Amino acid sequence: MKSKIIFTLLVFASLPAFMFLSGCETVRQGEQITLPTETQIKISLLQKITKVSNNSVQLSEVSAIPFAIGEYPIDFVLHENDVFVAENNKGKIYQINIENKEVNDFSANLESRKNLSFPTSIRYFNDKFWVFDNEGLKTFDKEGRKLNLVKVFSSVTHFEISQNETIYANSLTNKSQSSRALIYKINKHGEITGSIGKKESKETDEEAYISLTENLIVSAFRNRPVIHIYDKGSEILVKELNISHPIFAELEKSVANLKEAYKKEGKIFLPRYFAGIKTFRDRLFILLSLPHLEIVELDLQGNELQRYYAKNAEMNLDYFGFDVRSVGEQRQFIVGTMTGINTPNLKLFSYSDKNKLGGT
Amino acid sequence: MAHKMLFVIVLLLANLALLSVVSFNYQKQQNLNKQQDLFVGDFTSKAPIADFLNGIKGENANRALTFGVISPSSKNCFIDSVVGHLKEREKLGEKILMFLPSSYTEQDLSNFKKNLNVDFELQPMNEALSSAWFEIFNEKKISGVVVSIKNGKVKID
Repeated sequence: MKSKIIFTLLVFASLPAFMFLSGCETVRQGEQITLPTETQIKISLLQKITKVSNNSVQLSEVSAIPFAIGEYPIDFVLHENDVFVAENNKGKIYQINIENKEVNDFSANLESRKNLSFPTSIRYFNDKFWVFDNEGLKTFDKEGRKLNLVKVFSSVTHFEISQNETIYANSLTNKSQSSRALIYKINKHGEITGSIGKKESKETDEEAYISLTENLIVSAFRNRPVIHIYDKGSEILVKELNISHPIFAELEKSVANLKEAYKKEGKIFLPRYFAGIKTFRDRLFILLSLPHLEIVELDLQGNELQRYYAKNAEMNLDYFGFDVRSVGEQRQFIVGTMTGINTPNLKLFSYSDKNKLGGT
Repeated sequence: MAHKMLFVIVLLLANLALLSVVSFNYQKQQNLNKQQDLFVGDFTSKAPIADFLNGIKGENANRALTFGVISPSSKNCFIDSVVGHLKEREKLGEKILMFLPSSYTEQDLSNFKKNLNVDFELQPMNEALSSAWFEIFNEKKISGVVVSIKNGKVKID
């Protein structure tokens, strides 16, 4: 009898642990809402499309160079046959030769390994690298000798440099300021000398890619399928272009439907429309942020000329840079892509139909 | 009976496991809270900062003063939030100062003022004072502080 009482007491005393170990996990799983990822939504919408634009060109993959597995590349610059990739988390710069596919840690050459702190964007101009990082704008030469550091006090996400070394930069909005400029003009001393355009929306207009021609500044919002073209001299918006895609309208609806559900989980659902932009000769190329590679070619008046696809290539979760070059009669697209979680790949795509090359 | 005893032992072990998980998380939370708490005493333990605070207290005995100190490695977003906070306090009529690391060049100071649209006074710190602040920032794993002085009392915001 005594042992039965002790047994009953022990069972009751142990009940909380039993519930915790057996029941709680199930309850937690039951409460968890599995929200679709942006890529899943895009794939599902793409599967419904049967019609492909008549003016489309199939690209072939020339090469794929996996590198820096587990790391977080954020931008790259092409210089001759080398691509220099800025890695954000570890502050590295990888030098990748696109001919022989050799990968080197260029940042190991830098005078001090502490020289880069969370870089966000990289360019090569006037025989030097220009890198924006957490500390400001850093320049260094091909040997890795640091030439200068100027503090800008602005979190630049993407930039380009004009012939007179004026920097056109998109940066995250400073909360302490009332200005919501889309592009800042920064001189080589790090001083903001002017601003161009305005971020109309706090959410969708926060980040934009920039590309320059001799007379124009072109920007592509990351989270809105719109291109702005500004005159470099007058700094006035001369054209606003809406880039269409069969899934974009449906994507908008998904945003509206899922916004609240994401918010409840403390997340923001802000789909990406563009992943890069590049003016090349008299053409403008836009890399769409889609799981399959898709590039739109426009003339500088904003007329769409054709689209390029690489439908048989691997799916892309995200992109970290985009460039265009001509090699003989071939046009090549260089794309930084994440083909899986933390699996960066530098890929080259091309087509060789010289009648369709266009541009002068 | 043997089965019943085995069942009880399993449940007892489960209880012990639960207890250790709960107590580990509680300890972790306590440590986190501890790290976030900042007291004036943390800073005045360093002689250069104690002297500096006494000096600035004396100079501003009859008015409210708020000042910010940042580390040379402060991220842009942190600097932005300190500047935003100071701008808000400036609107309340307080005297505002910002002390910048001794490693900042004249150009950096000028860019700080212009690019962040700052009207309040900026003062570069000397080497010894800079080092004293940054030692504490490193110890506390923070990027800077905002300090208020009101009626002769010093408060870390």
